[in-house]
Amino acid sequence: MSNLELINKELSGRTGMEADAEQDLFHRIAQIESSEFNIQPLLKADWIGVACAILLLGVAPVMYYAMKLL
Amino acid sequence: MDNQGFNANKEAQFDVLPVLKDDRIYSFGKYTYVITGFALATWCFMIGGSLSLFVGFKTAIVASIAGNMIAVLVMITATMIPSSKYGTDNYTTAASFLGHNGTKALMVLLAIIQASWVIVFSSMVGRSAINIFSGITGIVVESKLVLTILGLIAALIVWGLAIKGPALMGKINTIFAPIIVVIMIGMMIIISKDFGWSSVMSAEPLSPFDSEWLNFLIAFELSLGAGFSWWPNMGGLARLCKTSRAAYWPNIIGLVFAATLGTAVGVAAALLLGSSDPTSWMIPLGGILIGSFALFCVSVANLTACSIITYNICIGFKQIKFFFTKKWVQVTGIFMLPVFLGMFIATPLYDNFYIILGLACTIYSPVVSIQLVDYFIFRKQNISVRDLYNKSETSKYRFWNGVNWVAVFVFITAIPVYYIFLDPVTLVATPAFQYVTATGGATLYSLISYFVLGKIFLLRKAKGGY
Repeated sequence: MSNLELINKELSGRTGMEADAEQDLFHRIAQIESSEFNIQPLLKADWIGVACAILLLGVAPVMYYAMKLL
Repeated sequence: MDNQGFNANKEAQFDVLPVLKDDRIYSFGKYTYVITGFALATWCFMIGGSLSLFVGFKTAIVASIAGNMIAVLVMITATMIPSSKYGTDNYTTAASFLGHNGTKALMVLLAIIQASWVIVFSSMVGRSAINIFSGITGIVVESKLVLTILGLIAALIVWGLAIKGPALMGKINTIFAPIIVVIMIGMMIIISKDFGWSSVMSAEPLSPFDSEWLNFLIAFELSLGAGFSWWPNMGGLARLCKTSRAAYWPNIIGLVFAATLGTAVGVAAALLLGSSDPTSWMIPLGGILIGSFALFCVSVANLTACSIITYNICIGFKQIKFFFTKKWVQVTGIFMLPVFLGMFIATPLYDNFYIILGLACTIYSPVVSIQLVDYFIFRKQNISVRDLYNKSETSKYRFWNGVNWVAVFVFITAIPVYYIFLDPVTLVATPAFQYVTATGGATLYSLISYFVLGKIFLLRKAKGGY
């Protein structure tokens, strides 16, 4: 049984959608679940950038003002 | 997507269905324009006006960047990552941590807040039109009826833009976002030329507390609240981005740096011109030609911002069976109906916009915190798309009759926790506020309590498909 058929069996009549829209939804879910569908996640470098941004532009200014004003 | 043969009901971007790779329309650059135009609507001036009560120009910029950087990064990590990965909007994804019925309940609250923003901004577009007319003709228009009619026309334009959807919003913002950035810089130059740069830098806050640390923290707090309050507008756009990076980093450019630029202009205007409301100072400051053009561009930003608000909340509405079978024009029309009626009470809403902002501050950080713990810690970044769309009792995300009561409990109790630190309407702080801020306190409370209660009542009892 293909993945699409499994989705059909599992979700048919349970989405609150009309039959046409349901079929479209099942095709989309099948594609998302397939290994070919791959939106590349953020890389390690991105997460390092996030950490640096929070520390340098978020936390550090607050620390600076705390030391200056307290 | 061209307009020939355009049918909103056949486009995935107008529906609650997950958006596949080929349907995604926003590149990194395009989304940067969209989010920058969105951020540079009038709210940044208004927030600037609020900051000017407590801190001077330099401190306001530091507090704005720091608060927005932390809040926006946390908020987009919770929203943009799952939405871009699965192509689902924020409200569909929310079923994984609120349950299907819990999401609907939250949506009712959000719809009221979002409709209020659309009323305030449409009213502001009406005021801008009156000011441009008065500037050109010299005729002063004081009729409230005229303002209401112009506001209604602005709301109709918002509806039209929302009907046409994100492709048109992208096109408009590609043109206007860079222009508005240039205008903001130009306004800063004009202010500093007229008053002198040293006056801008040394201008005293309008109504500060005695403690400078408390003043800084209030400015930081307002910026945190502003950063979190983009939450309801996020996932609907993220699912249209071609890559995770395109869905993530442009938010920093738009919601942090561009918004801070607008906030800085708002602070400078409030400190030196006595008003953060751009409709009252742009023409006197820039002259009839430049001022009117600037006001026109800000009005366009307001209209597209409202259309983005409308688009996102209406995509959320599509989850509800009643709306799912309705045409896109009807769904948006139903949302806009109270907006049209609300235009008749726009002035008191406009004058008390900070109450909307205050309310937003209290509710978004708990939601973001719950989403963060649920997606990254409990679910380890894996959501079942099947169960997001399965509305029956067999769905993993059924929890208790479609509601994740653990999340609801944390959300509801986080609101009084916020008040322990700060009253968001009067901005009266308690001593505890100085150590953690109100958003910080509510966020920490939500993170810890959802983690602990979730372990006990969700993971151990195998509720929610963890």
